[in-house]
Amino acid sequence: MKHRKPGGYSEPSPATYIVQASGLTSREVYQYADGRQESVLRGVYLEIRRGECWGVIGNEAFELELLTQIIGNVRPYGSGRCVLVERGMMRKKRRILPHVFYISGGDTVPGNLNTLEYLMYVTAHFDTPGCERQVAILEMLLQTELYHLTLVPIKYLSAAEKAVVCLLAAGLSRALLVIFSVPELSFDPKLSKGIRHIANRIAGRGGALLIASRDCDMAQTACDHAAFLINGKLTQRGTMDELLTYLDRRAYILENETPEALAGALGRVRPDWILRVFEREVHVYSQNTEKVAETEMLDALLAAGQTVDALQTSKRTLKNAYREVLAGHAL
Amino acid sequence: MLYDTTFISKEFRSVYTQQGFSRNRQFSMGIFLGLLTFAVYFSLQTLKESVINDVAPYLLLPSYFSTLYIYLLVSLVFNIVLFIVNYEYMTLIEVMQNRWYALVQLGYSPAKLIGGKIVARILAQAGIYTVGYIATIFLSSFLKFPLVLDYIGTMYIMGLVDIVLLAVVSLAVSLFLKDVFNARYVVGMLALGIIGFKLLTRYFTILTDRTLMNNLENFFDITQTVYMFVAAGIIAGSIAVCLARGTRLAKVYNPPLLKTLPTLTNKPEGTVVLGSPSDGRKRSRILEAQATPVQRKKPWNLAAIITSVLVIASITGMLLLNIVVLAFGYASPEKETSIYGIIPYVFQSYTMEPEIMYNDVAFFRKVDAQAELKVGDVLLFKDAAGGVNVGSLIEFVTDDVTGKQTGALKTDITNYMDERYKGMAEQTVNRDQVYGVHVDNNRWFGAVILFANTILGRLVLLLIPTFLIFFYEPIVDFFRSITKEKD
Repeated sequence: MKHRKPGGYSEPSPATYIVQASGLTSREVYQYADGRQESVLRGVYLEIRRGECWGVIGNEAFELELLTQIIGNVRPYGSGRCVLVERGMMRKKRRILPHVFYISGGDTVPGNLNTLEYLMYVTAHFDTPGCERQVAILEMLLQTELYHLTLVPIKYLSAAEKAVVCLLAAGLSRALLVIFSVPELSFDPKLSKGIRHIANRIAGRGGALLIASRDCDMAQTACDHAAFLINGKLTQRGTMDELLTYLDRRAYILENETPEALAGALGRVRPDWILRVFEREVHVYSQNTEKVAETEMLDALLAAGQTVDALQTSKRTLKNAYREVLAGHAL
Repeated sequence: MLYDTTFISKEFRSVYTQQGFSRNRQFSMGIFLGLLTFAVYFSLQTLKESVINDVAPYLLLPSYFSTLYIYLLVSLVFNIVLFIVNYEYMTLIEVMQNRWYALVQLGYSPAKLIGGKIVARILAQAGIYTVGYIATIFLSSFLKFPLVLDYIGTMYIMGLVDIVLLAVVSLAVSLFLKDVFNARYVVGMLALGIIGFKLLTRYFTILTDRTLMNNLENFFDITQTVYMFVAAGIIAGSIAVCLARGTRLAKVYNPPLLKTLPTLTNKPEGTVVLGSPSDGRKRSRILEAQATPVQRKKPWNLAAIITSVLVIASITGMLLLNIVVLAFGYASPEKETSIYGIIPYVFQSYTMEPEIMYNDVAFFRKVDAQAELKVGDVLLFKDAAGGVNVGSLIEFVTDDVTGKQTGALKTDITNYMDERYKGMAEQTVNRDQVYGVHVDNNRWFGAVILFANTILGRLVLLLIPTFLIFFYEPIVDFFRSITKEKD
């Protein structure tokens, strides 16, 4: 689709970095009961390149919102540096920048239009003829596997679906940075897959998507990079594969009537494993990134003289990785 | 099907999801307003012989003037209700809610959006108004009233000015009120303000005068009223405010207004987030979030409370009115109703005018044979045949020989249609026949009782409370939901 140039939008930027945040500290502070004060965000470092889709996972919705608002030029920050598309941050905050599309929830879409109509409506100023535009939008809905939303009036959609409709509109824009700030929402696998497709679309035109969420499953499906925002600091950032490999070391989930006894027996056989008991389950973790082989697991059980009701191979997930990080922070 | 929805066509659609349905709905709303006007006109006709005829005779004339005048009132009230109910779609609150964010990002001009919104809103409301106006004229034509084109045109323009004024003021005000909950009430108050302003500027003096209404220039005569000039100024000012502030707001991302502060889920008790105010002042900090769980808000809000109070008051009022009407109906010359020693009567006679007018509710204090009476008192008594009479005491009858009072009283009516018959209704009654003395009368209460006794009145006063009792919860829920803010 051909875009008409929005006001202030210049030629496509040759910039490699879409976001370069270094030492970013918020002006907002936590004040604890004892009167101690501490910045909500402290020394945040984040670099997002063209074509990347980042998921920032955190345990505090307010921190996630704040981070995306600072990056999206909605709020000012205290100290540090934040550069967008290698242009420097705007002095005037809250001003809509042509290269940043900020989405916070799904309340900004009108309820009396259906999804297709809304997307046609927001793109009415494109130079592409209506028929061609509608075909392109329909194709996009098919490609993103979000066709089930096509003709549903927006007022009947869930909050998460409305947010995805906003994201579809952002996918049609030329904004190089799309910020999807949805810490209060959770997404079903179908929507998560749709977000993944939209992220690919944004990446395909040289943009980047930044998702702030507490939904690890969605982030794992949709993003290729992730970072954890814990206690105001961005920790453990990297590609999704790296994070899963280094942080989620749970190999097996064993189920037994007497999990404590099972854990004790296994621990004597394999002291190099980390074993944690959750209700009827024993979770087996390896101490390094190497995955525990299935034969190794069975041998250990045999050596310990234990039987299990169920043995489940644990898939590496962002949720587990996040739990590990939280456990590391004693949260 | 090609979705070529433009901004203007979306605005005309209002809250509905389909363009055609919205168009039909707007047309049918216009027709409904015409029919409603007629229903009000006919209801008022039943009150012709009441205080209404003295206070607002222009509502009861057998003329297009009356039906159209009623239409102007009905249409104004309807528009106020429409703006309150559909506030989120009909005003510029959507700019504050960032609903134009995607549009501006994708190439729409904020100034054009604001202009389009103003034009669409005025045209949509004017469309409904015009359909209703034509429907009222059409229905009035069946009553064979003489058609006077002069005031028909003037009245149309005056009604249109009201609609435009309400629309632009609501649009302008919505840019300053982020809280939808309060904003709805502000629209209602603005409408009251407009009506108050009309009263102050003697606008109604011209509007209620058929002769003055024949010439539109009277509204532009500053010696008669300044309303039109002030209204034009307000309209122009509101449009300017919409364009200036609306365009500015549409270019920024507006922070959402939260009813309750965000809760920090992983922070120790007592932790709060202090933010910097947007104007950069360093000393004062604002509270942005807190760890202490906020007590769950009661599902009640002001709108629900006001609605509940209004609904309960309406039910109680209407039921009480029904009881009073029944009591009055039950009253007969033989068995009158007495409430705390006061006998009320719907006075359907011209005989005691001007003290008691036709259809007034007259109140008589119950008296016994020992009560002191004085000349001039209006007495309630039973004549020899047992019929109830009302007359003014003109003389205490005295014995010609002894010169002492006999105990008999001379009464007469105060209003003779023909002076030649004066004294013909004079009666002499015994003191013990008198059982009431007039203490007061109420003209408005009489009009209400009169209306309540009509078929429409009975329907309204019985059906509406029944409807309200059955649908109390949905009504309150509706007002609660339309004013509910997202936390």
